[in-house]
Amino acid sequence: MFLLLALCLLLTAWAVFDRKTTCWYTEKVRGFYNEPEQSMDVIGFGSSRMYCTLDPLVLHHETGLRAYVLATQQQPLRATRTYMQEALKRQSPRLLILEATMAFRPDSETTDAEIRDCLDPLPWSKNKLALIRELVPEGQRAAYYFNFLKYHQRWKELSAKDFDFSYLGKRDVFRGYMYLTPERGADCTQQSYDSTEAAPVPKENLALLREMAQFAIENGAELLLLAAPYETVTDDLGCLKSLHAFCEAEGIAFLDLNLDYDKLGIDEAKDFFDIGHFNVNGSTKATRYIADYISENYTLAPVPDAALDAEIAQAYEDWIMHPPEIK
Amino acid sequence: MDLISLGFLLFAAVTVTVYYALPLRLRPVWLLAASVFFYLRADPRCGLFLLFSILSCYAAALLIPKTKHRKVLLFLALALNLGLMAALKLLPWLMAQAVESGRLRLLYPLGLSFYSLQAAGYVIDVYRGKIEPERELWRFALFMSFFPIVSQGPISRYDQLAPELNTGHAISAKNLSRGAQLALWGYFKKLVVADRAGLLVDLVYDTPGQYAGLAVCLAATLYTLQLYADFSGCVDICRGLARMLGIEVTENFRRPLFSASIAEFWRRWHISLGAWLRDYLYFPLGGSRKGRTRKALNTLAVFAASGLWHGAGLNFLFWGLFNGFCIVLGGETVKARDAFWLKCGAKKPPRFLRQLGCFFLVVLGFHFFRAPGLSAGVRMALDALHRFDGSLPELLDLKDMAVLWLGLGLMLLVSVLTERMETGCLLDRIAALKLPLRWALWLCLLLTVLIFGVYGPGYDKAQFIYMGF
Repeated sequence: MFLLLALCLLLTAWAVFDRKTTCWYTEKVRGFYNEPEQSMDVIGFGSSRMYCTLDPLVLHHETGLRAYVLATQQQPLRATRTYMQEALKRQSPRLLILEATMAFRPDSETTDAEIRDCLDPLPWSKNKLALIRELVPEGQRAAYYFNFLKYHQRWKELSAKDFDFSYLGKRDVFRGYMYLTPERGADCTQQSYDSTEAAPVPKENLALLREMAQFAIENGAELLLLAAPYETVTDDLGCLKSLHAFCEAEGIAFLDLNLDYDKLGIDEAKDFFDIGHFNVNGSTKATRYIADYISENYTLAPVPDAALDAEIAQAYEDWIMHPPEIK
Repeated sequence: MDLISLGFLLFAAVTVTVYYALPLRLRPVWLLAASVFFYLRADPRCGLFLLFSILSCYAAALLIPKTKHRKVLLFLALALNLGLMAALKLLPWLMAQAVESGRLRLLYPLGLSFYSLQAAGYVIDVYRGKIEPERELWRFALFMSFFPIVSQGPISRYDQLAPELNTGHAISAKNLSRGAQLALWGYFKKLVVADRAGLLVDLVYDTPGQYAGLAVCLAATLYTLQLYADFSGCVDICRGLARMLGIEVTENFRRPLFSASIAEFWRRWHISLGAWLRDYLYFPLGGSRKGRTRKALNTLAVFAASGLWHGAGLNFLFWGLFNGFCIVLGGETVKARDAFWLKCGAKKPPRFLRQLGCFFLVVLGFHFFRAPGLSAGVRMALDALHRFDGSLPELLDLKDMAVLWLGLGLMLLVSVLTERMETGCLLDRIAALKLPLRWALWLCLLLTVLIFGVYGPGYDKAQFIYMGF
């Protein structure tokens, strides 16, 4: 009986000390699992460039398609593959959009914080356990299986929010998108690869992209790769060129916003939150552009759901048409 | 396998469970298997040293009663075991003194310092006829390798420990609960107090010269408390685990910081080492039977050995000799001091003041023990005096300091309560409390260790901040 009580206390402490609020990933990723099953037409995956670029509220307004963005900061590609597997356990979207610039970075450069950001919000599943084994060296996994080993040290920063478990039942009004108001501009310009030499993309990541494309097909969907603009994209031009060649060879659609920059109508001074991410102005323009691309290249008839559609439309009114002055 | 690792906790749980699932006669065999597994997990190469020690002492002890070359065999066994320990400990340091390029890195097997003395004590006791040699190799191997004590001690005597190990113990709720409680208390001392104090101590001692005055004084004091909490905490974990198996392991610390003299301190601190040095070094050297000068020299020799047993370095030797000198001086002046107080018509200073005086000496000694070297220790001590301005930089954040002081306060409370109890132990007194109260006490302690313990990968909120929010 004492042991049972001790176990209950430990589990409660674990739930309290679990990190829940950084960048709102917990609400956004957990919120995905609280969405009605089989209700999404498009799902976005990738890193922060995805959740700052694709705005499901705008996409819905432009095309009627219901979308969700399931991404975390600096998410390694192996984690993206796991997120895709998780997403398709509950949803049957026809289009999967993957912001692919994380493919240029080997997983070995992933930090502990980035691994935890993609692992912590995920509910326990075989996929999550497999991802821990893939991303974390043996000998260090205990603190990922049982993250209390790390987060117990949060005792100094505990707040009332840590005792609030309502997020478990909440849905994200932005559907995974990160609503950011303008902070500062960025020095981003339209790119051309004409004079660029192709630089190698890590082979394991190309294999993952291939795997994800195949996975999409097996689940009745198509994969669309996306590249969002960022200030230091000039460092990655060679890799982007290689990615273009890879997609052409593999027959994977690739929408590179760096090439169509002027068509997007981006104003560097007003449309960026920081050097790597759009704010709400920039993401609205980018999403409209993506919406046009989808309309021209895909035949996706949204599955009607009046209540859900009304809810998303209202959110669009509240946040896009009449944006408040908060992040 | 670290005592504070999840792996060790799992190993302990499995060991205890299987122990009681097996028939009585197989339980000691299981303990040996668990001990071998535990030891080899540290480093398989280390196992060879332990095996060498087991085989050499087992063979020597069997042969000693049967041969006229008993003394030769005894010295051979001691030379091989203690010599190996001395060589692996002292050689790298001696070479570093001779060659500037740095220390020779030698493998230092887990627990070598402990089981070498344990083995030597066994062989000497056989030689003295105090015990019969163990005929079954596996039983002797169990005595030498018993996993709760192989790496931390206490240094056990064969006639005390072997009967405990060789008897398969019946399951007892009292042993399981008392053992778990003792281990939990050990984890509290180790993780909440010792490892937290170590954060501040390391900051000061790893950068000698950067801190002075009150910071050095505080670090030296906290180091003494850290060492006590760490060592006694680990011993409590080991004793607790042994108790869960129904095995009583001798106490190794008896509130040493309450001592009123250095002599008393060494009767309460690392008791098994003090007893070993007394029985196997001090008495053979003549003890106090050959005059005052020889007694003083024997004392200094024993403490010099103790210092070097703890570590290879002039600072360890100094620390040992410092303690020995304090004991000699204390012994030589006790009559003169008593006469002085009598002459003054005053009472002897109250025990509390003598305890403070002793604590000061202990802290001073441990300062040199911890310092990165003897000269660094001297410089830091001089800096503490010359650059004393009463100011204290923030060495640890306020919340950690609060937890540390509260933890030390709890240790003090428990020590005071235990010191005042004439019979029984505090665990039994707690067990006599009403169930909700004692469960609340243990659950609070468990939560305290889980939350405030210094363990696991480091956490820094800043590493998760991204995109400026």
